[in-house]
Amino acid sequence: MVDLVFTVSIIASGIRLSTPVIFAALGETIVERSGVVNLGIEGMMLMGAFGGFIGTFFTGSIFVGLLFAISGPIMMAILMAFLSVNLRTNQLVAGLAIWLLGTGLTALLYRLIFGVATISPKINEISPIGLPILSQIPVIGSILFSYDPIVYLAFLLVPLVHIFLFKTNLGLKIRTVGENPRQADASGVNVYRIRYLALIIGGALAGLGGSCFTLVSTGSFLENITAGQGWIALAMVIFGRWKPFYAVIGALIFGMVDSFQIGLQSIGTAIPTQFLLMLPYILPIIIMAGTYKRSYAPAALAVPYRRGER
Amino acid sequence: MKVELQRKRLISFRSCVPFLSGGFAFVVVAIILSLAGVNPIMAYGVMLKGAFGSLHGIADTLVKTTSLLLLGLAVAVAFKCKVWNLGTEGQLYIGALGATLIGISIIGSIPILGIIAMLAAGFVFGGCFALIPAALKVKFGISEIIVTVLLNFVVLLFIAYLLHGPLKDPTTVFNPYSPVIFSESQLPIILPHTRLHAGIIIAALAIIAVYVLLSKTKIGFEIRSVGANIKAARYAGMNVTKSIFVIMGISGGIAGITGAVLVSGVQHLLIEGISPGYGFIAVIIALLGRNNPFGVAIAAFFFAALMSGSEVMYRMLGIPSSLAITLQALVLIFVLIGEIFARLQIHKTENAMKNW
Repeated sequence: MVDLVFTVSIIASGIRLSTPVIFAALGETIVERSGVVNLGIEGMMLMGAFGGFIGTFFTGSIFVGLLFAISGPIMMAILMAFLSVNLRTNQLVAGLAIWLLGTGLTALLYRLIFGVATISPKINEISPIGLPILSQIPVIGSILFSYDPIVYLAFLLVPLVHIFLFKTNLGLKIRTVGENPRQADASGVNVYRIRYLALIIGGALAGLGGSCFTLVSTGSFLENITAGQGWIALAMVIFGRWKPFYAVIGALIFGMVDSFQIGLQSIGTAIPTQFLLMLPYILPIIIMAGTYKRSYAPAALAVPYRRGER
Repeated sequence: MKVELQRKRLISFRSCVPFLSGGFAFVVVAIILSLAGVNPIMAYGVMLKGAFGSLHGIADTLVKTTSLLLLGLAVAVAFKCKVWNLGTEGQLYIGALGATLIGISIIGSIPILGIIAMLAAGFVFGGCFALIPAALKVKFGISEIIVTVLLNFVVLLFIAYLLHGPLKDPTTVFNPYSPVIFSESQLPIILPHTRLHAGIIIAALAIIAVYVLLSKTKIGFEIRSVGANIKAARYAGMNVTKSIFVIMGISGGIAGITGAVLVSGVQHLLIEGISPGYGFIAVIIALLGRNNPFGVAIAAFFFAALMSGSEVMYRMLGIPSSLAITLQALVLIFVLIGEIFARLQIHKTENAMKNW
């Protein structure tokens, strides 16, 4: 019985831990499908975590918090789009600039607003909601089928993003722009506008992913609270071969490994903590190395587009 | 003739871009500061005074220049080959580890040889570690960008493990520090009563070494060719795989030397926070220095002043030192925008010249 409860709670916490990466990876899948690599995703997640925190802290409303969580990253996405779409700077360089800007700006603003207080300010986290019927199952029900609404939102978005990309007209436009922007342009699609749109959606999703750190897990903000999960999301997009469902499988594997290592820490093993903590960072490298094929990537990925040029 | 003159003026405008962009970045941060109720002029004044106002400040700026310059070179040599080494932070720590192991061993007690062995260990450790992303890139084709970033986290955890376990100084109970290296293997102070150590000479030598390697040697030519056009280089019979391995080895090696210099010159032992995120700033420095060793040196000096100034600002006014990284990221963004506008202007003038 104890083993069962332990296993089930590992799985449940794995699902919870994979949520930020799911959001970010879904967003990045859309962005890369439009032919743009957004390396700034880590910075956008940090901005989302920070925005979600201050929005909720000052108004007491989670809804305002979420609004703040997506507005900062959307502004960064517009800046990224201006740099990479209009100015055609190297997308990798532009993305790195966005990443570092997010890192610096969130740390700076947090300290400017809250000072160097020893006790970090806290907000009330979102409370979990049990799924009807399923959460009534004795013992495991309340553990396995009770999450914060934002977790449900992440899983709801997976099929939605799939349908958006592969079954709608707009999704077709995004994919065409990523594969062959010239052809898309010739058939009347505004390449610039599509890439702007994709980046803005990606930014909003990265922001939602970031907000999980402050609104769901801890209730407080820390410098670099996302701890590299934006980069892990980037790895999962590659592992997922630019398909939403596969990327989410990657994110879930990450969540499970992370939850497993935390579980191992709590029961105590001979393995030093630091080696357990390394697992979530080594895993994406291993699964990328095992599955990567360049041919799955959108053909025009990271290539700036200029109208009227051969 | 007139057009030619205008073109020259525009090209000189282009070289002003970094400075103009820097100005814009300072203005944006000044707005943020004044919104937060801080007088930006006073803040910048304290910053400038902190970086250059005293012998101590200047020495501190130069000590930071040393690290940023070396790491900037590490990133820049890899960029020359179109290889993105964002893992210099991790390679720095691995190099620092190698140097510490030498510095606390019996070799560290031999004058001069101790320092040389430490630097060599830094190069070998950092360089070998950087071969992991190179191998993954060559063997599996996965992007070195994500791998190098993720490995940084792994390295920091590994160092934390060592400092809490096997490498911990047996004489302390609480502090996760390594033992202190032998005094014979510590870089000498070159400006008395300050922290300025001989590492800056190593950095200066590194500028020359990198310049010679890239511009005057056969392997440097191959590296630049692979960076300029990988298909053409392959067609010309160059070994692209070898170039990627060599450049990652050198890049990681220089990052490792940076770690060795930090141990030997500044801390004299290994701690977890030996680098306050130098590896990330080095990327901006390499980009701003246009991957040219001398450009990197100028950018490193400027950013070092920014860092040491912002530390003084934090101590005196309580303004967080994360101001520095915000400023640095903004400088990069404004330079990107400025460069494009300058290029567009030159383009226009050239077209005008053609039609004329």
